[in-house]
Amino acid sequence: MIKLKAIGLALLCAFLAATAQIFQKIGGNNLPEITWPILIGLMLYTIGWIVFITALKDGDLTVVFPIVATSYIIAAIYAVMIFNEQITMLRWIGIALIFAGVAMIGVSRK
Amino acid sequence: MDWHRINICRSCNDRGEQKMTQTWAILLAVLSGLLGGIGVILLKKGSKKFNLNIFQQIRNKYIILGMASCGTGMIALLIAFKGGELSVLYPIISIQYIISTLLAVKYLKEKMNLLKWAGITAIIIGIILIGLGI
Repeated sequence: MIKLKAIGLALLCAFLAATAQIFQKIGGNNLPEITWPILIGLMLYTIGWIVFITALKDGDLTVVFPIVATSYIIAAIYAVMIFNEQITMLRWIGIALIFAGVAMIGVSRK
Repeated sequence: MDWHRINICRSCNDRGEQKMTQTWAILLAVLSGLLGGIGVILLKKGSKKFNLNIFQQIRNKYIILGMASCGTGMIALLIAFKGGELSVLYPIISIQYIISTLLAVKYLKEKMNLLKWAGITAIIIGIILIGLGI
């Protein structure tokens, strides 16, 4: 049975994970100095963890994981918009394959 | 901390060109993925007893170990971010799905099937395509 609560929590987790990466990337750029984006990233991670574990409690790992994997696509869009990274066609294909692969692992569960 | 001193786009050089992602950064991202994959299995084991009572969770060793593993992986990724692009390094940690699927079969008694192997293969090809850096 599809558990809507677990799916909703997994989507929230994906958004939190991708957003945390943005702050961690900004923080990483400024290492070894510890700047506030690292702390915001950590905070988002921590909330993400709690949401993730709660989602796992309601749904199988194999259902929750593929939904959380949309964070790769969200993060790629962020990377283009915020960091002006140039994502080549080959890299988009790679990201799509990773998402498809994670989704396949997820739906493989009866 | 001063907002203006924080460099947002340090992966660009003075002429605004993208720097290549460094090999050490890719290796750190791989390490981050390994730790994440192990961590998530520990979290799944601990999730049976998970609640928001922090005093009970301190004694939930799977949750603590899982968080430590994921946390160390996160620090590895943070350092890796200094050496390259987000759109290269972040997808690489999807190696954690390969690790966690294989460990789930071994330790959580989950079943392996053709679709899971296909998924793992797609992720490996995806990571290789991204890791090529072109």
